[in-house]
Amino acid sequence: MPDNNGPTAFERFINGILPENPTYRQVLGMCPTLAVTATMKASMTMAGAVAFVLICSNIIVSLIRHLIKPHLRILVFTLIIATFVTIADKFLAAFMPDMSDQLGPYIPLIIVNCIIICRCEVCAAKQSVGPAIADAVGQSIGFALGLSTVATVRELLASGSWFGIELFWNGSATEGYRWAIMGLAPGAFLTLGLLMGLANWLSAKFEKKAA
Amino acid sequence: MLKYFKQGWLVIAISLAFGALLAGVQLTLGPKIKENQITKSYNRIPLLLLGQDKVNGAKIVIAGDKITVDRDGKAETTLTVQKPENPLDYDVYKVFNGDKQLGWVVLGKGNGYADEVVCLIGLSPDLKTITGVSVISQKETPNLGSKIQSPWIYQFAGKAANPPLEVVKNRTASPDNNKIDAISGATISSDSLTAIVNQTVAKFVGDVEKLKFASAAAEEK
Repeated sequence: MPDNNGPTAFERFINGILPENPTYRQVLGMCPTLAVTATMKASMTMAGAVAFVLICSNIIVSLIRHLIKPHLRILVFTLIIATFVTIADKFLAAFMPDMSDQLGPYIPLIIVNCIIICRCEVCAAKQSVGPAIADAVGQSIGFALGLSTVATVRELLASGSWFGIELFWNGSATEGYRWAIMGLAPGAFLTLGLLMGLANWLSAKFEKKAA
Repeated sequence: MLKYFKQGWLVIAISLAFGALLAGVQLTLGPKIKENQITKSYNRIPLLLLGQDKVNGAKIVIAGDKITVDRDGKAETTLTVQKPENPLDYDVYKVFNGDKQLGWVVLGKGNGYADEVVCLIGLSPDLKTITGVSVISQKETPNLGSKIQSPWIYQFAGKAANPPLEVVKNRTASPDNNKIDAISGATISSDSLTAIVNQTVAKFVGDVEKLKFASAAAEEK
């Protein structure tokens, strides 16, 4: 297989952020997108953990891509991803115990996050380290963007705050107007559905303009 | 045989290398993680036994078995924690203020609405009064059940340990000594936490005789 027959590093990077955004375009990694976006803090911790795992596993997969036997590749990917997820999990438990408690099982569940296995398969297993890193960074930024948009809407409506900071001068005045449901599972589905619709509508509009 | 090895050697090599890597991570971070768990419990002990007024605005410093409540840079109170020599299947801390026993702190666990709820319960030395309850781990519904972590929980302070606490839905005019006001919208979470407190206290009252402590401080009552 010839090297670098795919997009260049820069294209990979840009693609990950908007044109192939993991949340709104590829619709991957829906489990964390729905589960941890009740608050901005939890979402960004999750995005950081995914970025760490994605970048590390893309590098390793890209380095050993010539050694991997095609029929054993998923096994090798899973081994690599699971190792970095365990490191991320232990790191959070040691240095951010509150976040670790709050995210609970969702950090170990990064192992089965499709974004990572998809990027290993699509990019890292076929291209050299440069594009693989650019791809991982781009996709991580795209994923963080996806999570933060959902989390911003939900945290604002459910608790009137952003990153845990009260946005209104008189926090107790807004208490009666908070939508508790936005912090719960239905709020996640509603927000994601509406935002995805908005993203599709916007991109359709831009495409029309370009045509 | 050789054929299989040719196919699978990479998997074996990766497993061994990553296994070693993870062992290293566990060795490095393990003690820190354990310390975090202890710190989490110790941080709550002053609140549970001294009450919120003594703790609000103060800084809690933990050094080994000593917990210091610092206010404006001055040590206001220093507590010493003793663990039983024959540990039970749940954590028990005997807490001293100088030579005098201040009370007990007991770990309680049980099912909440969504997942396990873990709390610490403060008891007076004679086990007759609950001096406070504090939730250290819960995954209840955000904004509803998660209010078991809010100041709502201060109402447990000062309740009698016996008879068991009861949850009531409408705030009663007279503050009854064994009634807990439910959180509106989270009756099950309120019930669960109260049940955990009741069970743990009942169990601990039965177990307390069995506990052995290092003699020096234990004789002082």
